[in-house]
Amino acid sequence: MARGMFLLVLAFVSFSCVKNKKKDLGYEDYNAQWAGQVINSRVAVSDFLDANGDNNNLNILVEGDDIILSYADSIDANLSSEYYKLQDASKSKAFKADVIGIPTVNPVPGIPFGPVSLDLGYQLSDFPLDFNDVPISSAEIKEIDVENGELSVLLVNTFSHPIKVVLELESIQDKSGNILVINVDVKADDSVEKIINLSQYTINLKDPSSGALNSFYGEARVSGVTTASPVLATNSLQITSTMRNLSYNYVKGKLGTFSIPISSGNNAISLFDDFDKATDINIETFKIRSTADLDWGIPLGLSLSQMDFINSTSNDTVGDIDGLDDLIKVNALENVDLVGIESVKNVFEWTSEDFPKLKDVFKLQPNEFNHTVQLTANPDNIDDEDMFISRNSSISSKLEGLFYLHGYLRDYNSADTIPLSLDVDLATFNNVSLRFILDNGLPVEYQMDIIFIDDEGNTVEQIIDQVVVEGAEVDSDGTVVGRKYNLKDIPLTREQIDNIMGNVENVVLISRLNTTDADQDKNVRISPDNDAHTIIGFKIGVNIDLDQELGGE
Amino acid sequence: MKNFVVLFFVGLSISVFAQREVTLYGLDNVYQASFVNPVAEPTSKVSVSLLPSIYFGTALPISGRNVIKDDEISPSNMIDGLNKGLWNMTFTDVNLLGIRFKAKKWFWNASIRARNNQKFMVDKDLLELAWYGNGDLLGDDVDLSSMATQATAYTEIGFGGARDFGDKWRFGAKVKLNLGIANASNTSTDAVLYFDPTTYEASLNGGYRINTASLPNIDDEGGFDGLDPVDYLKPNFKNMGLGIDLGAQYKFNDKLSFSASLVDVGFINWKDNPQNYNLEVDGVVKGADAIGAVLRGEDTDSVFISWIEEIADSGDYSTTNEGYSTMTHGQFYFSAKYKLTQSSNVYGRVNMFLWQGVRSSLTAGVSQEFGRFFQLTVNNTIQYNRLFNVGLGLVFKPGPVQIYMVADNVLVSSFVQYDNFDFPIPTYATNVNFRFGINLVFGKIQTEDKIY
Repeated sequence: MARGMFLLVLAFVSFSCVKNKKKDLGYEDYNAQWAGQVINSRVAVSDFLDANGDNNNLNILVEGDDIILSYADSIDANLSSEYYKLQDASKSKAFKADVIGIPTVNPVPGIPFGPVSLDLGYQLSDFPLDFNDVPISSAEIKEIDVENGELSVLLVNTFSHPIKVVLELESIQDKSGNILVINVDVKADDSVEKIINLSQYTINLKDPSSGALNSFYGEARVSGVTTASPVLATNSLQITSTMRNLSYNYVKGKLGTFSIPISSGNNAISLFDDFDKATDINIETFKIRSTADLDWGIPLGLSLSQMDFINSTSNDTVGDIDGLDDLIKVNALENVDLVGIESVKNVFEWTSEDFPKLKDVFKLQPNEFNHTVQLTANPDNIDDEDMFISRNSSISSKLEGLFYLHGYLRDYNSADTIPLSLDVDLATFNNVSLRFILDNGLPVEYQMDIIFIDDEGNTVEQIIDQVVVEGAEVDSDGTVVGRKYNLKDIPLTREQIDNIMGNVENVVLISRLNTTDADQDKNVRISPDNDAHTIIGFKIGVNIDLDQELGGE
Repeated sequence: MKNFVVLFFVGLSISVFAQREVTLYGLDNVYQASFVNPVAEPTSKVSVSLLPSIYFGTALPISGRNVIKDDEISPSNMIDGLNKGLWNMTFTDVNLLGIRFKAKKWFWNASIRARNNQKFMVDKDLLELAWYGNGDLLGDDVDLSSMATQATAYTEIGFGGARDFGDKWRFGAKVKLNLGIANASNTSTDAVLYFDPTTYEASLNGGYRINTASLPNIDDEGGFDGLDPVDYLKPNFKNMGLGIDLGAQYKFNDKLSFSASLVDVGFINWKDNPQNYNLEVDGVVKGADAIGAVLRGEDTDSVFISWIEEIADSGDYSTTNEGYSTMTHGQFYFSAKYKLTQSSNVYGRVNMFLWQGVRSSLTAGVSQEFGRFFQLTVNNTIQYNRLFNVGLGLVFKPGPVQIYMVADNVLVSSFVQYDNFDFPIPTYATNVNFRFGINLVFGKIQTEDKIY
């Protein structure tokens, strides 16, 4: 038993041996297949709009489910001070001795005369108000709230005795309603000028008795004491009152009727910039919107006297629009105290149904339009003495061309070149398959060709007619009602992979785009929450020679 | 005698590869056999460990021939040969103090042991993914729930006893105080990686938690410098647990006996600087939102950053400081022994333990005493899909000194040496298991029958 066990153990021990291979231990090649996802993007139309929102005069608007490309021209004007100006007003009156109450025969010195009231009232000139340096013939002013300006009163006394004058100018009142009173002592054979700053005063030009406008009223009370000097027939007390350099906070009254040219210009339309002649587009819904926002006290009339669409490339006027000449009434602010606080907004729209000719105009892809907007103040010549203009009054007007994304697009083509360099030394790729998954909620069908080119522009490889995405389903109204799911695998052969790796410098993407059923002239609606979900994945067979990479260690 | 010496030194020179200590189980004369067999009945009244008994064992499911094919390192060959995954278990055990003595009918024993074990497992699915790619795994769940790692160092203080009850039965038990030195271990929920066959996106759902105790926080600078032997002599009562060994033996008749034991069943509560690193993942790895980013006018760097941030957001990492418990490496033995002669017997043995499933082995062997001075046992164990794992136990007793060496796998059929490798690669061996020590034994027990 013992010997048997000993031999057994010896046998086991003798198995201990080292076999020398006399070579290096190598490494098995790494052969694996990997699949992964590189792109996963869900892009809604709203994302695209946010990124391309402001481009020249283009604004992208979202109103409910509608996306609107708005090409707008705006103008702001402070019409009042820019255009309305007050004229200087002046009146001179000479008062003789008999009016003043000075005895002319056998003057006895030391006899007091007066006080005698002298009427200083007068009518302003026929044209107290200019607009754009043109007198407004029918303007009648009731009240001026003065911002700045001055009143000059010149008293010339040719009598040989001094005269005391108290000027009570009822037309001119301060903010508390106090009448402007000026006391002047004019020496014999002398003159005095008083200049009063009229800021913080209001000038009332409505005669309290007759109600006539443009009426300046006031009186001078004169008094004095006679001297022994004779009184000549030519002696007089001349009073000249002048209002000059007036600027107003507001002017009330009947402010006339006249035309105001607001905007005239040339604006670009970029909508069709990327279209070629083969592209066929139909804009089914289009609007012209005019917005006037003002705080004037005069009703206005607005008119579009011209709108032409031009293709500047061909220098053709591709369409002009009639029917915009009609005057549009723009309401006025009713209370001058609301200037700067409130405003009156007036919006007017014309639709494509009003101008069916526009659809044909847009098919010709205009890239600019010309227009002229004109305003008429008080177009109905309303006889209202409480109309007003304020120094701070302004008008903001905007004319918009609103292109709704409702229509169809056919044969839109584009080509983009993207730099791409693939040069991987570490591994060889036995097979490559690209997977495109497009879950399309846009009513747009899409086809893309991919062309790989080298640094000299030669085509290395191309993928033609393989990436095709169907557009989402739409109902009779053109609204998306169902998504389209597209899955496409594009395998590349080993030869293709070898050609692309190390040779490609750029890849050209040629895209063709049509809206759903555009071949049947189907109009579709694109709304902000339409989206497309794009997934791009790959499946690659990788081979790495580990003996080479690890050096056989 | 000369043969024995030669055999002894030859035995020492053997580079042994072995595993579960199934060989040690039958060496009743060696005190350390009580570690796996509480009812081991020695022939000496007193046994004291003279030098710390040292045990080292490590096991893998693969050998050199699984990794090398046609003179190439072949991961595919290795992976295809795996069952559930690639794992490793490594144990070290130093018996700092061991004493056994007989008092009346009882055999009492006490021991202090410094113990370490480390286990890890990587799912086969994950290895297949890494080597073959995910191309063939599209649409399948990649199960990551078997990922496991554990490293434990602790000091065990045990006290036990065994005695006969009547003529047939013998029972033994040992209670142990486990004092943890350091631990790092993980728990995981059902983690699954899935690659969508249509979109190719990857989704990962699950949670991982790594617990550490008595170790620096991973965020702290400085790191961990390892354990010193003196650390095992500093009891840390914050990491405390209990363990128990149980054994029973039944003598069917004079020749046939059966025994069974359940050892190292216990736990440790880790409360000294517990750190829990929790990662919950429930997300999908998708492609980058490049198209949307381009439309929004973002640059490529921001696209990449957004992609990384989106991936990071799918994971929720947190740290807590909750104490936790780990189990010790419990094992079950069952043995049947048939006495051929007074000094020789044959035996069959089953060993089982639980880790990432039930792992069992089957052993058959023969044992022979050569007088009082030398005992030899040889066996073969079937385990881990290996038919041949030849174990060897040698006990040499010159005088009161008992020198022993035990190994569960001495089959070392071949190594292979390549020019670009500094060391020979074992061809067949998958495990190492070796115990060596020297005891002092006194007081021969006079018995009619020697029970091993």
